[in-house]
Amino acid sequence: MDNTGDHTGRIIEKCIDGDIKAQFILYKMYSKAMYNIAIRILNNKMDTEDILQESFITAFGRLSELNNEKALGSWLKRIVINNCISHVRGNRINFEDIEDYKFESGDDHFELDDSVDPTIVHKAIKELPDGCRTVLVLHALENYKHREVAEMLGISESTSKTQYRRALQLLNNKLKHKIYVN
Amino acid sequence: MSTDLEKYLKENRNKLDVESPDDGSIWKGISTGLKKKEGRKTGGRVILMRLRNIAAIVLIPLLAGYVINDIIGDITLGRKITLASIDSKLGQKEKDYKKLIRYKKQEIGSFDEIDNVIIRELIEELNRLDTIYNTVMDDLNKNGYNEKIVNTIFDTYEKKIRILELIILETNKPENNENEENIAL
Repeated sequence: MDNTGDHTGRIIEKCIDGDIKAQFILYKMYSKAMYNIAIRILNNKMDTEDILQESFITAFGRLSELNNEKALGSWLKRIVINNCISHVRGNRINFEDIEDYKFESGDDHFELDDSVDPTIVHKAIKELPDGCRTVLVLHALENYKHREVAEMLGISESTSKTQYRRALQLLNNKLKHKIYVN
Repeated sequence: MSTDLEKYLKENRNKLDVESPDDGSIWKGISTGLKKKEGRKTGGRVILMRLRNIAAIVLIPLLAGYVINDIIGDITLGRKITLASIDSKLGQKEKDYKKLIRYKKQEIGSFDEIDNVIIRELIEELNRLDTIYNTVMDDLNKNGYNEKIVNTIFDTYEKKIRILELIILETNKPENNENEENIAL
């Protein structure tokens, strides 16, 4: 029998009651995942730590509003992403006009199988330009539709799609280089 | 090209969480933030409790005074004409209303803490109804029986009952929790 849900439920209840130990346990359960989401969007250690602190403080304050404990992870992720987006929008990231950007054909195709070290991919994502990196993270990794990404970032849906294509191409080139070099 | 990359990203999504946060430093910030927030809440609660105590000191004598005044009012005012002296049915009706009002007041009186702004306003409304009642009763004593006056008297009783019921409802209401800031998710 799976008691994970009950266990999480008890932790949530204790967190709502202000139990600091339970709050730390909950933080530890999600800190790594949330940190990686945030750092891929923000690409800055200090900003990421600030956003993580802000997000967990918000989450602990609003935990009683969570109706379904199974949704805790996605609820928390949404808080982190919202805070990251606010930060990104506050910094006025320029989604450069790449309408005329010529996307390369698939001639430089290379094999990207599961044997590729995720650390290399993570690092390559962080090296992408701010605008297209944010779109790539939200669409490809966090499963937001282009319409949702556009809404969140205050850009058009077509810009989101173009930025995404650009991000994929840049990432592809970076990975090709990194993998061949390695 | 992109298909392979997208497929890789999708299938290896969880493996991409490769960085480890500095939990010590981040948690320190979180716990400090939580303590500050808790401090603000506690401060708010202390102020609320002090206000409640002040309100209780003011309101309990106010309500007690109201009840006493209502019981002895007719006697001290020495009114000669009553509804019972006009018609026994009217007298009985008035007696029933007064009885109901007395019960409602006793019910309110059984609560230890009456410290609510809404209740205070309701008590003021009861006082206004008393003023109307006294004026109408004076009219009755000066000018004698008048259907309009009698209707106003009964209307005043009904309103008093409704207000007393509202006070009971308000007194039984659970305390509201502090509202947290509303963040759209």
